[in-house]
Amino acid sequence: MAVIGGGATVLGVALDAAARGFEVALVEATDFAKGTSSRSTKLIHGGVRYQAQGNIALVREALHERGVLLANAPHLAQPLAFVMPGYSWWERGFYGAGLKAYDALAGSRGLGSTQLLSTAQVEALIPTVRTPGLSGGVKYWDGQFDDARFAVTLARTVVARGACVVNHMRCVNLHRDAGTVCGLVAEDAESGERFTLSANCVVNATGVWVDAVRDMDAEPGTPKRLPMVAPSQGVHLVVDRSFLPTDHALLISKTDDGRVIFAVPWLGKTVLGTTDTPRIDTAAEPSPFRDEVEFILREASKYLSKQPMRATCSRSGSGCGRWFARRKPKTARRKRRCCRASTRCGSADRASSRLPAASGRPTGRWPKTR
Amino acid sequence: MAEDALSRCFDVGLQKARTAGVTEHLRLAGAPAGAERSSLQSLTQAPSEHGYGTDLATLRGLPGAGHWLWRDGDGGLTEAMVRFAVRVEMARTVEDVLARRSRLLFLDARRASALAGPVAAILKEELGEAFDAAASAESFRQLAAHYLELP
Repeated sequence: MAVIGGGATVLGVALDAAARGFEVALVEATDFAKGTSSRSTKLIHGGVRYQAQGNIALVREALHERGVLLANAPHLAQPLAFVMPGYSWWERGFYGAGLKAYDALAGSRGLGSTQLLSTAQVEALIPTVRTPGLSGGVKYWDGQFDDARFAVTLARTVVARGACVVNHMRCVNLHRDAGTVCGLVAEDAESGERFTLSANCVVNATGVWVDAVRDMDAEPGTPKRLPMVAPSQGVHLVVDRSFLPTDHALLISKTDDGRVIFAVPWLGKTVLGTTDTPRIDTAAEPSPFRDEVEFILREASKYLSKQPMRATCSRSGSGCGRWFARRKPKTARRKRRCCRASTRCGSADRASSRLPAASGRPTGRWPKTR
Repeated sequence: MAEDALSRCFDVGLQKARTAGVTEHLRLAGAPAGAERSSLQSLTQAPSEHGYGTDLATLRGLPGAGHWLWRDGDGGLTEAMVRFAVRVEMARTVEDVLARRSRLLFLDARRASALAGPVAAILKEELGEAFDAAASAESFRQLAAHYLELP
């Protein structure tokens, strides 16, 4: 089996294949996790957002995967307590009930019980929370991780299972035999040397670049296929730990315009996020849009007593996330719905050449092997 | 997810199916088991040697284990961590080290940029003469500058 791409999802595919005893080779054009996999929210959630959408099967699966990940990589992925402050009388009871249901779905995989908090308890756990209007809150458990180190460590683990895994090695062409992809040509970015790999199965998992690799697979002269992915980006800002001097994360599940915003303690700093904006291109180093930065700073300022300003920020990952699009999605909302359906099962290209494609869930939701 | 992708390969007849579920209890490289877990450091804290799990002894055995290039409380980046990134974690460029083996680019792009030269010098020792230290360092400094700009 030959695998193209070195993101977290496909490293999981390679690990699963190698652990089942297949002979596996993986080539990554640049470095493991250089794309979306190093620019996630750094959060591992058990699908609390799917629960709000009513997709219980997906919550169960995500909770299971969260448990597997925390158990198998405790040095890179750990439980994290979240505090949701309430500013309306109904919020504590409403979110508390939903999160207790989330605990029940987690069962023995639960990380800790959801707790209703008094106003004083919220202030004790989040010393920098905005206090005017504060009316209690809820504490619940999910997880966080070091996304890039996680992917690199997956790569090492795949190698330890006997696979050949190489970074800085770009797939430049696909080989076909009687209409079926049967191998690829890879070029060493350092030496320029080319290598030919033969495989029964070639998996294309190049993230936002998946369509470019699919086009290598096209018969000469055939019209271009509809794109599988519609890229979008999410921005996070990194500020000093003094904005959130605690081991608890702060989460606002519904800002005034209905979005989610969080402040998370991560590797000695505070990560503020997040946004979700469609993009027309698939830049390797996407830049945040001004609106996104403004949104995060404005909303974070509403819930933190210490106000983050432009000068105090540096940008964390603005990474291109992948939303699968079946057709040309007209709106972000449409895209998200497509994404929900397609991330359940990945996607296999049904073209005659049978080049399977794999995609992870968007940031923060994790495959079974991890 | 990985199981789903492999199932597709089996379904379309590209591979003969083999039993799933083998990764459920497969610990990743460096993952400690049992009581050893208590020595791990929280991910809310600055990255330190204690994030290396069972690789800690290997890390401390490398040259420069006490030489801190960047220090944040008990954590930061040592020369040995850079060597570990190359020898064990497949890093090939300054960016591989400072953006993904260490996360300093995301945590403090200015400081990461200042370390491009020293990290490139260590990489040269590890990777040999073919490694273009100046180009790797310069390319990383340009990337770091990009991270310092807000629109």
